[in-house]
Amino acid sequence: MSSGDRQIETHELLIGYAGQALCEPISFSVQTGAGMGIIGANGSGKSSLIRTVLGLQPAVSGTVIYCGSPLDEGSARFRQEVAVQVADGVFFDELSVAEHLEMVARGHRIKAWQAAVDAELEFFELTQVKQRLPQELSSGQRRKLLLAAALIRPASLLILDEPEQRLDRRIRTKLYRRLRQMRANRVTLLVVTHDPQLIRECLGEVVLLDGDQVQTLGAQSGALWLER
Amino acid sequence: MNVKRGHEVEQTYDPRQLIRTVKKRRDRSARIDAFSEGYIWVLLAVVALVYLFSALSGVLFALQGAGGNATQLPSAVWDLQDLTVALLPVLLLGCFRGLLYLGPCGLRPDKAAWWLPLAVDLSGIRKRSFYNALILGALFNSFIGILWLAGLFTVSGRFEVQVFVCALVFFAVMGALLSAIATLVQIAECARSVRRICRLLLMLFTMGLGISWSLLLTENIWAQGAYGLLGELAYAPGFWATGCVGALLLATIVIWQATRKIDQVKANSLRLAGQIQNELVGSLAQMELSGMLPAPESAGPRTRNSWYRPLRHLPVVLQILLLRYLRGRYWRAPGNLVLLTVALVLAVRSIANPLAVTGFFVLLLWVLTESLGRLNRPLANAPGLAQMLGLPRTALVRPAIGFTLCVILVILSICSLLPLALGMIPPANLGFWIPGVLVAGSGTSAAAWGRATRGERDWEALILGASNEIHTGSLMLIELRYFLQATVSGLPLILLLLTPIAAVPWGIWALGLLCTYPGYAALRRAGESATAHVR
Repeated sequence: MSSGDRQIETHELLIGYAGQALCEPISFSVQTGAGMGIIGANGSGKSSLIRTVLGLQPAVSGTVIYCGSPLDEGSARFRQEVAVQVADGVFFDELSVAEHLEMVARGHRIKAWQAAVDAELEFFELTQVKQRLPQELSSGQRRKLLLAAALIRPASLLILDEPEQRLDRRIRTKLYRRLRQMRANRVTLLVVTHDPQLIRECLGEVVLLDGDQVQTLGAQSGALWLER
Repeated sequence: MNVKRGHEVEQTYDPRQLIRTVKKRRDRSARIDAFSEGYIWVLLAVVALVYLFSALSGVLFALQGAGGNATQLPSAVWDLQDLTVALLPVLLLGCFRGLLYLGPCGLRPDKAAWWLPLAVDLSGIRKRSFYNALILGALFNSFIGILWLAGLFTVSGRFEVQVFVCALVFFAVMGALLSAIATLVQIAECARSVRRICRLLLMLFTMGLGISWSLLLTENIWAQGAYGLLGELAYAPGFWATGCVGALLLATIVIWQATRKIDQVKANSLRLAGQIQNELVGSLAQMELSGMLPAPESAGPRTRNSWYRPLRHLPVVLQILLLRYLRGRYWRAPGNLVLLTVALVLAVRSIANPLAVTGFFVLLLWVLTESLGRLNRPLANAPGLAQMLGLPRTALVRPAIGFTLCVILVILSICSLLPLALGMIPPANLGFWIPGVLVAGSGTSAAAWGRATRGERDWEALILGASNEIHTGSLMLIELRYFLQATVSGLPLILLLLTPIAAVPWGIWALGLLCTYPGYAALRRAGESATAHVR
């Protein structure tokens, strides 16, 4: 694998809080168009890893490289190419579901933004509630809004944190089909998940955070680990 | 939807347009709601200023002894006015430190989450956050400045409008300057180093105060002249006007520099600062600042510090309480108050008077109520804690109240040395002082336990729901009842200090004992619930 194929990689990345590491240093790389999962028990550091990779949380040590350069989440390139859905979302109390999506679509220069918003509302079955404010939505609907906001915009790398949470089986199946299509279109996936189905259908390998140890497994092994 | 594109950035779309459009579409009642939210905060700031001014006046009145007899100590070489003027740099440093903690440039969590990842030019958003930081700095420093000026005018007994206006403008401009400097620190990501410098400056200032105190003690002419000059300058409008001009020039340069570099402030820094500012607003709304204070040290392995090994032989609840008390630094607030009081009594003229010492004891009872309330909060409120420890609830509540009582009694006993040393407790009154300490200690521990069980408050709903001033006053009374309880339990001690010749009426002793009853009731309730559990 040449360094030119690697879209995102970590070198001896030590994640933790206040100088205390959560696990041993993590090194992995994800090729363009590949799908990498992050799995582990509760509290193993999966979401912390994602937050550290995104620069939302300082690393104890180590580096994150995006397309050959140190990752800078504020850079124009990162903002244009990387779409993120983290677990906890905050919303504008005064903007409706449709207005949130409009803001993201127009903020990423989608010319036919109205059509894009309508398409995402239909995909995530939010059309009926498109005029509602976030505080009037259920937790599942808010999760769908966050996913819609991540998927409405163009991206070459999609980072998701437990996208399957609070989704019913039908929406999950639709989502996983869409993630497969995205991979076919050379979009890289980096996903924290507890769902073996997602790993089997959409991802190629996983990083397992198991206590203090870090292992890289194939998708099937990763799914089996989750199912045990 | 997954098309790659070049890396040029959108120039025309401003995500704030959508918010403005939505706000314009609001109907009249929604606009009034939004206006009233902002109005409430302004009103609360004005009310806070008025109450703080009253409290400050009361404190200074007490410190000056209300014209009563004060013990003249040979070490007391400062006047309150000298000290007030000398404290000005500390206040400005404190303001700067506060702005550094707040960011000062931050974005609300919703804005940070939705705007920062957009592929648009964020300069306008960053500049807006910088201008908000300048306004925050100017307002914050002006608030502090008004209180400082109120203190200065109170201790000197002089009020001059020109000085007030010039000084207020100076504070506002300085606030903007400090905010701009803090922004440059935020951009350079060197807040930690700057905080160390601030600590060093504070240490140097304290040393400087100590040196000047020593010089005044030896009646050094230069030191006396310097303090005299400072006192005169504080009342010279020209001094403040010159300060304004200087601060304005500096502020212009620094603000221009920060405006040029504002695009370099990291997205995460804006996000974190916005989170902190949001938490502060929430804490102010709850009138609960414990969420903003540094978190107590984590438990860690108990063997990490050999000092803690002897604690292993104690019952687990006492271990928890002692370790929380020590590691959580709940001893700091009363400790700092005692040190400050002793320093003031020794170094400032006319403070060694019965009224000031009484005020110190009242403040000490309040500080103990609050700090020990916070110490006990998890034990008082966490319903599953007793189960987790495998203990009945009574085994949690009784040691907690007992520990609180012991700590308060020890502190009050040590602090009793102050009035004893100043000769404010005649030997005949010692027989009453000791039961007075017991009553104050019991009442304050009951108040601390009550404070520990305090739930969350929705102040916006409470104040907006209050139909008149009496209702608002009663809300404040309910909120402050534990501090009142601690004060009333300390009444025997207060009367022994203020009127040492007269006997303390039995009604006062009864009131004080009444304040201890809630603690006794809490002990009984814990015992009853344990008995019910056993049945």
